[in-house]
Amino acid sequence: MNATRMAPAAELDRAAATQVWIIRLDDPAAVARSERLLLKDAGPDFRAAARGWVEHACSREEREERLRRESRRPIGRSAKMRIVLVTCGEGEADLIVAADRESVPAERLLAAGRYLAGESEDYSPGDTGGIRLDAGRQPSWGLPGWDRAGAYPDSHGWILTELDSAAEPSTLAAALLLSLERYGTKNASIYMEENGPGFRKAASGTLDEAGRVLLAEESFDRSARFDAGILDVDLPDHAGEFIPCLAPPLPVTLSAVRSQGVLRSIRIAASESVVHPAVLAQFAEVYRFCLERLLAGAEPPEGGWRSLPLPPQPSPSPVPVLRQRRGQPGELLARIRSVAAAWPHRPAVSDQEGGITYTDLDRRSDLMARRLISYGVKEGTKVIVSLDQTAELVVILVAVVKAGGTYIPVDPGYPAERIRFVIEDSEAELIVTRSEEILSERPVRRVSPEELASAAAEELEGAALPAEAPKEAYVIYTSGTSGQPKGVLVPSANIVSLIEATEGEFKLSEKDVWTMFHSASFDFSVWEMWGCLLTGGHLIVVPRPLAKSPYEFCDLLAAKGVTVLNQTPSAFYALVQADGEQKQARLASVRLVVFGGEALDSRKLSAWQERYPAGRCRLVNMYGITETTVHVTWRTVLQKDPGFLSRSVGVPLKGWEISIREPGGLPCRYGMEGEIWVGGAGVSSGYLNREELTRQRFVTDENGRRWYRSGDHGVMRPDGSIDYLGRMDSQVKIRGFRIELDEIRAVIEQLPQVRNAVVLVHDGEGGEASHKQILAFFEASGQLQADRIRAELKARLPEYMLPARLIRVDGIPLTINGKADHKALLEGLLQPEEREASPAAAEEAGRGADAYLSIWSRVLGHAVGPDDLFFESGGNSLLAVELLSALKKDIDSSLTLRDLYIHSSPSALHQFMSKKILV
Amino acid sequence: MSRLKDKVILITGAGRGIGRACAILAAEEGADLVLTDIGVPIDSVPYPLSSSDQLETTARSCREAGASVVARLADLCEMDEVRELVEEAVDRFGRIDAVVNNAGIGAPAGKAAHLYESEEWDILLNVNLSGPWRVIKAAAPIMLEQGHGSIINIASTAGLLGYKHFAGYVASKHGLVGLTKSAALDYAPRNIRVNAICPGPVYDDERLDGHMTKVVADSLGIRLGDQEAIDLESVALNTVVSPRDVAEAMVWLASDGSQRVTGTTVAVDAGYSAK
Repeated sequence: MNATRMAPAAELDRAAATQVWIIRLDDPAAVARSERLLLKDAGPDFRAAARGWVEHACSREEREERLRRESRRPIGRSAKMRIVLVTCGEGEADLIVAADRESVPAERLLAAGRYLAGESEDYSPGDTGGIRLDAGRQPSWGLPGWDRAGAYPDSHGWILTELDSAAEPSTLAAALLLSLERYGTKNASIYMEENGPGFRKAASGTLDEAGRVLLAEESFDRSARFDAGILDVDLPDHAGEFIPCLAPPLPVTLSAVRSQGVLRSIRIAASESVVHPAVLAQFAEVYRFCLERLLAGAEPPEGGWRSLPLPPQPSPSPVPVLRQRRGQPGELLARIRSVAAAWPHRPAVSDQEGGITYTDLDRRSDLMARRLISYGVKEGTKVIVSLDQTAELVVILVAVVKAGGTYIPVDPGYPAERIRFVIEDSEAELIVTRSEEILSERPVRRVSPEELASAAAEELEGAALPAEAPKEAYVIYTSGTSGQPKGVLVPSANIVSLIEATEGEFKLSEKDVWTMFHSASFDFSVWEMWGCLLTGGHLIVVPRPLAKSPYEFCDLLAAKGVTVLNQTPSAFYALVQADGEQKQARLASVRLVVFGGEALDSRKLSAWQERYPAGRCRLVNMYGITETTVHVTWRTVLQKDPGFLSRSVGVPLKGWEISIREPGGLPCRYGMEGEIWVGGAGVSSGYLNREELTRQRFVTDENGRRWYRSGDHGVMRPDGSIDYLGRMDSQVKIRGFRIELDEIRAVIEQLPQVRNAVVLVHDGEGGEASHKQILAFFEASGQLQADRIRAELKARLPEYMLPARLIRVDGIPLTINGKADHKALLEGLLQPEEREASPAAAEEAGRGADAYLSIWSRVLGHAVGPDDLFFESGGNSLLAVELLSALKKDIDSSLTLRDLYIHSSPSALHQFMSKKILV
Repeated sequence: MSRLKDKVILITGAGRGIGRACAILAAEEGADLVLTDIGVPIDSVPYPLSSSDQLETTARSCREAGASVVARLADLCEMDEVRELVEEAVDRFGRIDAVVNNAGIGAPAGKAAHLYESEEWDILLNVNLSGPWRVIKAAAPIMLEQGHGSIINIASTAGLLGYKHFAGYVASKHGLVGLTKSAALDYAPRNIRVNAICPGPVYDDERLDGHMTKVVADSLGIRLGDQEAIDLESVALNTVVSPRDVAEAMVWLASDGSQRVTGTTVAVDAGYSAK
């Protein structure tokens, strides 16, 4: 396979329209005749069709150089052929005939050449017409706008040779359609042009269900947007070299040249502005493989040609993995002690009650650790910590690790049922909590924070602490496919690796002030807490109620001079809105914002970026998974980022590794969609007490390397960065929370009256992330009310997993394949949610309230009642911003987000506004 | 050398002097060329202009250097002739990467501004200022379609400073510098660069049939040798400028080596304008 470079993109249009035919003349009479005809004697038909020049080359090298130049020149706007005769010495010459391929059929070039060379006495232009094509569809797998965007892209080509075969054009087309499908282009439409003696025809092609190619000449639509195309040219045997186009006229163009029907070569070309050259090279290999299989007459595999396994890639990924020394378990404690020794009097952790220094943190956590040891905690003992977000929580988590235990943070706001599940599933021996309500069938020692802290110092002073942190530092429970959450067991060493991989890049230091914004049971907080404490920063623990109000959080950030902020995008958009309502830019101290937890829409950052430009505040988008220790990849987000980067989550952290894999586990080629596998320093130990699941998700590849199969869909660019394309299964992310829809369904279906339930995510209008909501449809017997189900769900699931709506249906509609028909279910959404009828309330709301109701339901995407609280009927902070702008537009421009948070039902806001207007 | 490999360059006034030097150097650097000159006298111009033989001599030298050349006589005061020239360039080579607006006249001159006849004044502006504009008018659409191009206007130190008794010439060259700067802004978003070279005193190289110093001397009514002495005295370096020096600047401005340079004037004047 040979690589070629063609015209730069600026000239692609003309070069794509240029076909060139090169004939070597070695008969002096033919050379003399050509020269004479070109310079003066050609007939009128010929002169009307062509214009000629003669060049003389003094040496063989010069002849080759002139031939090279002439065969690469694009044709001008003229409809005439350009014919150049390059003579060299006695009786030898090259005849280069170029013409616009869209208006001049290849056959006419041959006729002109034959006439000049003396093979025919007259020039006959023939009557076959030209074909002009519109621009094609940009291939999504080509990964355009790569690192050279903005320069002048060239088009690149790969030439497949040694193909001697009588391959039918339809076979070439089938191989192309199969290749495109392997790259995720389903239902591709290709252009197929055949040029041969006396004919030129065009058709469009698609692949049918059985994997057969359909070529339709009749339905050929020249304005159709094609994904790719084939220019198939058949020449007489002695015809010389034919170049069907100097640049690809279609997004991916195959130029197949035959002589007397036998396939000689195929050039696969694309502009590098639509297909990266490295992607094209691999595409060419895949094409060749598919074509050879088809030509060899091989039987299609069991699943049809579509499931043909591709050969392994000849060489491993050319992207070097950034190696990083792996953290050791002992280093977690060593680091925290060295931080305490280096900055003994600097503030370590604060909350609303006050703060402690690193010396305090070290001493208190030592004491608590000794106390924990006295309770029997040793290496690997599981200790549940279920406390509100305070500085005390942080000290206790550190103490558990110092005692050699593995902490399991559980948000005290979780339903008792879920907490009980964790106690039983984890086989924890100790629980640190203030709650009296936590019940469990397993005997588990309950300890209050006061008890831990009350130990007399002298009493415990002598007890020895382990020298090293436990093998596993923590367990975090995430949503599970079986309908039950599962605990991820994360080694201490991984935390050290995470901090070592980021501290240099993000310049983390003792001068930083961090917030611990997220619940300890969400692993984003692992990064917040350890990232800060291992680099000597000051950690401000944000209480839950404050974290829910962007206004108060904004005040806190300004008051504390926070420098490193970690946010889910949804939370950050609300913060940007709250900050934007202030005249002054108060958050100038924030120098680094790290996004995680859900897909980022960088368009929503512009207000922030204008106020706090890149030089002052760096925005970093990170992709991560609990199973691989918080973060995996990172990318700095800039205001001038081109659109194609919107799905990019950047490159792996030092020591982390990414591979995109096919369902069978083989590495995907660049641009091919597959599952994101994560390897390297962040891969956790597996799921606690779930050996089978651990075996399924944590795998060892053919090279003996351990990987976590994320279940995320992604694609790799040739620079090693990845685009995140969403979840592969029913697990979804809404506002940063990872949710297994089956888990919600399982709870609903446990109710005896429920026969069937379907839980799905509705994208809402415009498919914006903010409109995403969980909808639950259920089929039940008897008088089961939606409220009863909601109560059950509230008792067992965290708030973020509660469906925005519960919809009773008479039966779950099925698709033809017997699967639940989501589309039909969504169409039934026109009916408002089943609820206790409240005609009085509706009347009370009165006519003026109608406007509020309609705005509410427009923003939420479903019908609402006058007393429905916004945040309990599918609303979130991001939708609140949209609701505000709608209300400002239609009701009163003086409304603020704060008003909405306080008066959060349509009738409450209506009443508030009525009074306000009267005042 | 191949600083201009595969580039197509159109050069006006290529019959002799700086134009011929530019053509030959461009050919040596790998370019293909479209060369033009007027080939006939103009009534109000008091000295002989390039002949078609001189243009053919330039073309031959360029072909010997390996270039493919289209040589064609054209009067740049005639829009139709300029259009046909550009059409032939595109028919032959498919594109135009650079235009060198070199054609110009140095006289009538040698008198105070009010003493010029209308026809004299008009012809100076028509050839030296409107000529380059006509070439831009015909070639810019081609460059816009290509998405790139470099336009190089050969102005003069007379485009930067005044010269006694050369008001018409000075006005036309100042105009050309103004055209350069404005056109640079017009086309910058579309990746077409426009720059001017301002040669200072250039000696008449006999091998290039150079003529300009003689035109100046004749205009001022002094001997060629005296004018050469005055020129040498006026520059900062110990030598005046050769046509090849100007061609070197042209090659740089036409090449990708200057891809971030537009709207500027490059004085190739042996330090004349630094004084």
